[in-house]
Amino acid sequence: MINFSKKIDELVDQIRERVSKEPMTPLERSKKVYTWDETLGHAFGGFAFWDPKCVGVTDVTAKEFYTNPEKMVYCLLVAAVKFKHDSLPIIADTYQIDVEACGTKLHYPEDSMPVIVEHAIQKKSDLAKLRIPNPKQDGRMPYFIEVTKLFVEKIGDIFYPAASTEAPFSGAVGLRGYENLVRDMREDPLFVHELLEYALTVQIEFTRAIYDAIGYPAGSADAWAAPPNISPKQLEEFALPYAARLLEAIKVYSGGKRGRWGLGWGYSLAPDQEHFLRMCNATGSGTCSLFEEEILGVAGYGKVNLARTKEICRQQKVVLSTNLLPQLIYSGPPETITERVTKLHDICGPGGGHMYYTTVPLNTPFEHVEAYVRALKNCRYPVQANAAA
Amino acid sequence: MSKEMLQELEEALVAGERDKARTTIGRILADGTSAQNIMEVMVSAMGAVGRKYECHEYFLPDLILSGQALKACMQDILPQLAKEGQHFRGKIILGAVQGDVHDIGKSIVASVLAGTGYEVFDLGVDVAPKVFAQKAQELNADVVGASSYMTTTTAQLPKVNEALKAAGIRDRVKFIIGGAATAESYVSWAGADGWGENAWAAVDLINNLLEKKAGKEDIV
Repeated sequence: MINFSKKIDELVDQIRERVSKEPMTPLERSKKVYTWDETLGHAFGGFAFWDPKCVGVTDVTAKEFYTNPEKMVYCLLVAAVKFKHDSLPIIADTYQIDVEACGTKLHYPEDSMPVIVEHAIQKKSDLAKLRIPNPKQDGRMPYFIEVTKLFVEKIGDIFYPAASTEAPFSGAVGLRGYENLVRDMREDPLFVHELLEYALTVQIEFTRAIYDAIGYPAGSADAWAAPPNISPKQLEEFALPYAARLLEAIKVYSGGKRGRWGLGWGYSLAPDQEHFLRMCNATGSGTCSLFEEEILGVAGYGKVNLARTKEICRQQKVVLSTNLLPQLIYSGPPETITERVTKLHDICGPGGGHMYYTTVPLNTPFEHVEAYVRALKNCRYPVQANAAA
Repeated sequence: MSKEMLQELEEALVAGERDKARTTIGRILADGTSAQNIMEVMVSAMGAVGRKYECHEYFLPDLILSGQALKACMQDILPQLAKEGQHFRGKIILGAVQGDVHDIGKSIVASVLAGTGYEVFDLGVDVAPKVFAQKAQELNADVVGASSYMTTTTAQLPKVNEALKAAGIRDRVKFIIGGAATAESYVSWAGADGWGENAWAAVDLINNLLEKKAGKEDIV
C-alpha cells in the first residue's frame, strides 16, 4: 500500500529545496506577471495534463486522479519535481465537476477522464427541478475544493494556486447538451437566459467556496462560448454578460480581487477582432488566453495580430496567456518548441504581463516538455528591444 | 411552381429551418418533382452553408441546425430515391473512438455526407476498434472515419487501423481520421488514408479517395 501522504511530503521537500536556490519563488514570479513588473527574471509558464501517465505517474489511475484529492495533488507535485516549471494549473475535468453536482451523469473509465453520459436537463421543464448544489457536499465539488486546499497547504507559499472551474455559458452546455442548447438559443432564448441565471448562481457558490478554502479566486474557463462554437453575436448575448457578472461577484466576495475568464479561441473569427478582444477583456478578467491555433492561423482559425493583441491587453491591464499547441509539445522536435517559445517571448514579453500555458498529451516524449520549460527559463526579462523589434 | 418551391427548400436548409424544410419537401414531392432534383438542391444548400462557414458568416450552431434540417429531409426523400432507382455514392461508417464521447463535429460530418449522397452509418461515440472493423465488414463499407476530440483518445486511432487489418479488410476500406485533437501529421502515424479538417474537407477527401477506387464499385 503506497503512502501518498508521505510521498507528497517527500516531493514537497524536493520542490522547496530547488525553489530555495532560485532568486525568487514561482509565486513571487506570478505576482510580478500580474503587476506588469518586468523583474521576474525569466518567462513564466506551465502546463496542464489530463492523465497521470502524461507526466510519468504510473501508480495513480486516471479515475483516481479525478476523484482522489491526495492523488491529484501527488501527480501535480511529481510533475513539478520532474519538469521544474513555475505554473502548476489546478485543473481537473473543469467542464464537468459543477454540472455533475447539479445532476448531469458521468461515467468514470479507469484509464481516462470522466465523460458525460446524460445531461441534467433533458426537457426544459427539468430546469425547475434543479437546486443549487452545496459545494461542501454535492458531487465532486468537495473533491476539487480539497485539491485546492491541499495544494495551498503544501506549497501555497511558493506556488500560485491557479484553480479553474467553468463559466456560466459552458456550464449551461454541460447541463443541457450542446445541440439542445443551440436549438434553444434559436427557438427559446428566454429559456436559455433562465438556464444561464441558474448556471451563474452555481458558479458563484462554487467559486466562493474555493475562495473561502484557499483565499485565491478560481479562474472560469469558457471554451464552449469561443467562436466557432457560438457566433460572436451569440457570445455577446449569452456568454459575456454572465461571465462579467461572475467576475463581479468574485470581486465582491474576495474584497476586490480579479478572477480570470478565458475563451482561448475565436478572436480571429470575429468580424472586428480588436473590438471583440476589447469586449472580452472588458468583462473584468485578469487574463486573456490565446491559443496558438490563432497565432499560427491553423485548424480553421484565422490569424490574430499578436503584437496588437498584446498592446490591447496592456492597455486594458489584462495579462496575455499564450498557449502553445499540444500537438507541438507532442510532436516536437525540441528545437521547434524552443523557437516558438522564444518568438512568443520576443513579441509578447516586452512590458511584462505575459505568461505561457499548454497541455501535455499522452505519450509525449519527456524531452519535449523539458525543452518547453528550458526555453521558458532561457527567455529573460527585460526583453531586449532589438529582439522585440 | 416547383422551381420556386425548390428555391424555398434551399433557403430553409441554409437557414437551418428544419420544420419549414420538411413541409416544403412534402409539397415538392406531392408536386411530382424527382427526389434526384431535390438531392441536387440539398447538395447546393450544403455547399452554401459551407461557404458561409468558411468566410465566418456562419458558426457551428448554424452548421448544426442546417445539418439537422438536411438529415430530416434526407429521411423524407429516401423512399422516393429508392423508387427512382438512385444509388448512394458510397457507404461511410463514422464513429468517435473508444473513450471519446464528443459527438458534435462527427454529427456535422455525418449530415454533410448524407446530404451529398453518401449512405452514412453513424456508430456514435466511444466506439471500440473492433466494432469499427465488424461494422465495416458487415456493411461492406467503402470508408471508415474515426474521430478523436481529446488528446487522451488519439492513441485509439492506430488501433482502428490495426482492427481493420486484423479483419482482413484494410485493402478494400479507406480509413480517414478527423476531430479537434488530430492534425494532418497524424495520418501516417495512425495508418490512415487521409485527414479532414472540417466536414467539407471530409467530403472532398472521400470523393477523392473513392474516385481512386472507382471501377471497383458502382458509385453514382
